[in-house]
Amino acid sequence: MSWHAVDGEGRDLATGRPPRGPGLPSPAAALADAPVPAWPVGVVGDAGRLSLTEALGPGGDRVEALLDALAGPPAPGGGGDVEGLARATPAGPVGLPVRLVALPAGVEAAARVDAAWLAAVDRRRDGPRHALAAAGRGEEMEAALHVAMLMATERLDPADDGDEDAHVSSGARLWLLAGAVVSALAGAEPDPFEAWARLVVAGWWPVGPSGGHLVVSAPDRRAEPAG
Amino acid sequence: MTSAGGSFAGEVADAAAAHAVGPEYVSAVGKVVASHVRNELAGAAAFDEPAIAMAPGPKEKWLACRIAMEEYGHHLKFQRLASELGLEDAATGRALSVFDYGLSSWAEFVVLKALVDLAEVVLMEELLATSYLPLRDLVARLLPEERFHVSFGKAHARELAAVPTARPVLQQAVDDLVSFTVPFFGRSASTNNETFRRWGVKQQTNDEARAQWAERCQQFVEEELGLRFPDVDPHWNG
Repeated sequence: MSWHAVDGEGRDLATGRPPRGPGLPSPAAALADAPVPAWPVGVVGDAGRLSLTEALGPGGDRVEALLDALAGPPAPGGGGDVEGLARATPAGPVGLPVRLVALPAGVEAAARVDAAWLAAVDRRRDGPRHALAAAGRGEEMEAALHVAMLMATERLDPADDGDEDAHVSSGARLWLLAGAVVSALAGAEPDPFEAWARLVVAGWWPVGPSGGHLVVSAPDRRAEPAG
Repeated sequence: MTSAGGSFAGEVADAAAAHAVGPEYVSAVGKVVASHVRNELAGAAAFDEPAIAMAPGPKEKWLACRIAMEEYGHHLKFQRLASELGLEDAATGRALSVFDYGLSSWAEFVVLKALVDLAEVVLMEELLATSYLPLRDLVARLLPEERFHVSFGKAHARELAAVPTARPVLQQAVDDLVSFTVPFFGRSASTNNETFRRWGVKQQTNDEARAQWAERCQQFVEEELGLRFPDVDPHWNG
């Protein structure tokens, strides 16, 4: 069996033409080899086409829903209840007052983010990664991360290549998104990254607890008044 | 389309035109593209991803994350160029020896960004005049990101250089990484480089590129960090 990653119209992502010749040995390997982003994305093999959900297996539907939201325009109203979503951090609920800030203040807050909280987020990122690897699903995880990072690296590209603040914000959101993709694929229930993933795809940068506030930055928006 | 000296003086618009020029031209472009396919991936895997865990704070961690993703993105864009040329195995083969360097600290990472990524910038800047236009266009798009990686490394190296206890670690990183990077540009007696220049894929000898890199590094290390820059012989044959 031989597989090629394809766009919504069935073109091979490596060539831009209909798939031809030998491909990769599994749907996940084909996705992990895709050189360019496309949405929707799928794979084509001798037996026909599989969607991203089908190619990734259990949890693939959650990954596809997350990336579908990333691919679309930001949700009206900034993704819903921003304060409520912000308090449901990947490390658990945080009851601090939420403060919405512009990018420079977000970067300043990021430098002083609560170290214990950040270490807890790191652990929540690592747990599902190890679980998927132990379950023999490392190939599907790599494929999901590859597709997500292809899309997100461009979608969250800093407008100015020399702007360090924009790079910090973009890197943080890529880091959170990677955690959310792996958590979704692993089927964590409840999913600790779900609320913050919704903020990220809506254009927010949830920074974390810093200086007595739960800081959320709006790097893709006009500066908003501090709450 | 050849110059008086026998060198190729034309511009090649796309992969089909490259094949029309001939197999030696495709092979020359392919070797240059394939080296970037391998080295961007090796760079992201060997240096940038571990650096995410070594970062001293969240801001640096997330900057390292963005840089890792950009290096990975560069790998993919060069791979796409290789696919268009019909190179099936661009990602296979060995990355350059500089990627054997075992990164063990944040100080090494920032010196690496300042010096080793500068080597990548020197090579890419030369490709702004390459005869293969898709490669020229690609490096024009990627250079701003590569230059940001260098400026990130320089800024954080300057911060560390202001801390007296960090200076010996920085000096060691400079000494080690300079010697690791010298081979990055290839041997002085390189038949590949002769072919690249004959076809207008590159313009400089390996020694000229190495000398340019060493001069730019030396200026930064001595004038901005106040550290010693090791002697670099631009002539290198392994």
